[in-house]
Order: sequence, then C-alpha cells, then structure tokens
Amino acid sequence: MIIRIQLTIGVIAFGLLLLVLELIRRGKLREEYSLLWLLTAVVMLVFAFWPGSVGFIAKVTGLFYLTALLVLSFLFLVMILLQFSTIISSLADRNKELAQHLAILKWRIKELEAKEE
Amino acid sequence: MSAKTLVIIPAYNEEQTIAKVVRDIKSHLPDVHILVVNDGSIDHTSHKAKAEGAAVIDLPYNMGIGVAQQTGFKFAREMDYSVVVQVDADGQHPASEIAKLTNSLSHHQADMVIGSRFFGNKTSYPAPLVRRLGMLILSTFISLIIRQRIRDVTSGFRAVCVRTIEFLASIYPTDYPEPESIVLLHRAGFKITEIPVTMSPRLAGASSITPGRSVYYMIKVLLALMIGLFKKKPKFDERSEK
Repeated sequence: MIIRIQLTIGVIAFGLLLLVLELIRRGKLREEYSLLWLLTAVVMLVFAFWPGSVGFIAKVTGLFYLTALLVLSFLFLVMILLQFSTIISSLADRNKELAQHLAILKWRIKELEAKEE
Repeated sequence: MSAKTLVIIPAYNEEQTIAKVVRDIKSHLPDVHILVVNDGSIDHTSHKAKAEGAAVIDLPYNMGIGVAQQTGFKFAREMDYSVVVQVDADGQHPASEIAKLTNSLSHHQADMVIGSRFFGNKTSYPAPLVRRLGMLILSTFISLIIRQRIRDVTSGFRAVCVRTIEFLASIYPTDYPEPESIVLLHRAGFKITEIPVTMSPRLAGASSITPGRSVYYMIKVLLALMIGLFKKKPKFDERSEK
C-alpha cells in the first residue's frame, strides 16, 4: 500500500520536475520564477522516497500526519502566490512608469512636428 | 512670479469644466504654462483643453489621480520648471488664489504650500457632517505624525518648489495622494506650509468622495498612512537626481 502511494507521489513529483525544467529550457519560464516550483517538486520527491519525513515533521510540529501534509502543501501554495503578488506589483509599477514616459514623449514628438511645419 | 511656473491639472472626464478652468487661469496668470494630464478620459476633455491652448498629455488609459499628478511632476522635471501648482479640473480652485500659493512658497521658503479651506471662516465650506468629521480625524492623525498642524489634508490645491518637483517625480503615492504626500514629504525632510484660500463649489460633476463613502475613505486612508509609516524612509539626494 505505502509503496503504491510512494510511487504515485513520486511519478507526480518527477513529472512536475520535468515539466518545470522543460519550461525553463524552452524559455517559457524564467529561472528566477522557477525556483519555488523546483523546490516544490524536490520536496515532493523527498516525501515519495522517504515517507518517514512527513511522519517526522508531524511529530515535531505536533500535527497529525495528514494535516502536516496539508499544511506543507498549503505553505508552498501561499509562498508561490505571494511571489506572484510581488511580481504583479513590480509589473504594475513598471507599467505605470512606461505609460507616463510614453505620454510625455508623445507630447514632445507632437511639439517637434508642429515646429517643423 | 518670475520663476518658470507650471500649473498641473489632472482631468478624468471633466469636459464640462476643463475649458473654463484653463481659461480662468490664462486670464489671471498669462505667464504661467498650463498642463492638463488627461487620465484616459472617454469624453472630450483632451480636445477641449487643447482648444483653450493648454498643453495636454494623454495617458494611454485611466490610471488614477495619483499617476496623473505624478506625470505632471515628471513633465515639469523634464522641462525644467521651478514651480508647480496643482489645480483640480472641477473648478473648485479659483485661479485668483494661485498667486497666493506661489507667493507664500517663496515668502515662507517652503517646499510645499497647501491651500486650505479650513482657515478662519470655517463655515464657507459646505460639507456633510460625516465628511467634515472624517476630515478632522484624518487631519488630527496626520498632524500628530508630522508634529505640525495641517488643517486641510485632502486639499489638492498646492504649490511646490523645484526640489519637491524632483522628489515627487520619482516617488509619489498613487492611492490617496493628497494626505499621503504630506507624510511622505515630511519624512523626507521637506518643509510644508498651509495658507488659507477660498474655494468655490464644484462647477459640475460629483466629488469622488460621496458622503456615504467618506467613512470608508477615511479608514482606507488611515490604513494606507500607517502602512506608509512602515516603509523605509524615503531618501532624497539632490545630486543623484537627474
């Protein structure tokens, strides 16, 4: 039974790892944004090949086995979402700067064109 | 007013008032330049402002009052203006009062002068009680933070000098620019002064802060201000700018 669960998680984790690596290779995922995904896949692999690790975490934190698993996966999701929020913030900031520069430049070009005529 | 002065008017769908606002400023102060920052209006704001002879910058889409105002400061920095006056597009800020602001800028050697509704005759500003109360709480909060009495923290009728232009062109609060910029400028070591001005009731359109929303607005501003205080202190190095 435990072998089958290990196998399932292992295959999923390995698949995720390959997918992330392939996305990086094709240039569809930036390395800086892929670290958390790689970490997620690696941790899943560790769980698959060393089931005792989850039990160990459960013991240390005082959580039940299943709860510990849930908390861990939730933690990764939260971290990835937080990373998304910071990325969106910086994109919005850059978008603002670009829009402002564009608008000012457009005005200056029109001024120049008006002078030339 | 010998300094090169720019009046910034951010405008979003203000076609009913913008022409009159620009015309009034031109007749009172023929020497100043007027910049209308059209914040993605879907009406004829841009066209009407151009027709009155104002320089008009069109933002590609609606980005909010703070971004529009900062666009004005960026423009002023690029074009080397030494004084910027911020005026609302709805006609609340009389052109006849602009000179008061710029004069006191040099007279008080301030970095920013705020034109305040709440000096002297307080009854001249008609506003619902809830809103006045909200403004009072905000003004008390900000006055305590910066240890200086500011009566009208939401007034958008302001004049700033050249070093403030430089600073605000690179850092500007976009959510609630009027109250937030006071705290921001104070923390960066700028000198702020407040003088009494008369304001007119708006010519048309509704205020962005309706009475029902004023409590909500106040809470959001207070939160934004408190978060702002957690941020690293803004540094202003005059030599590194430009």
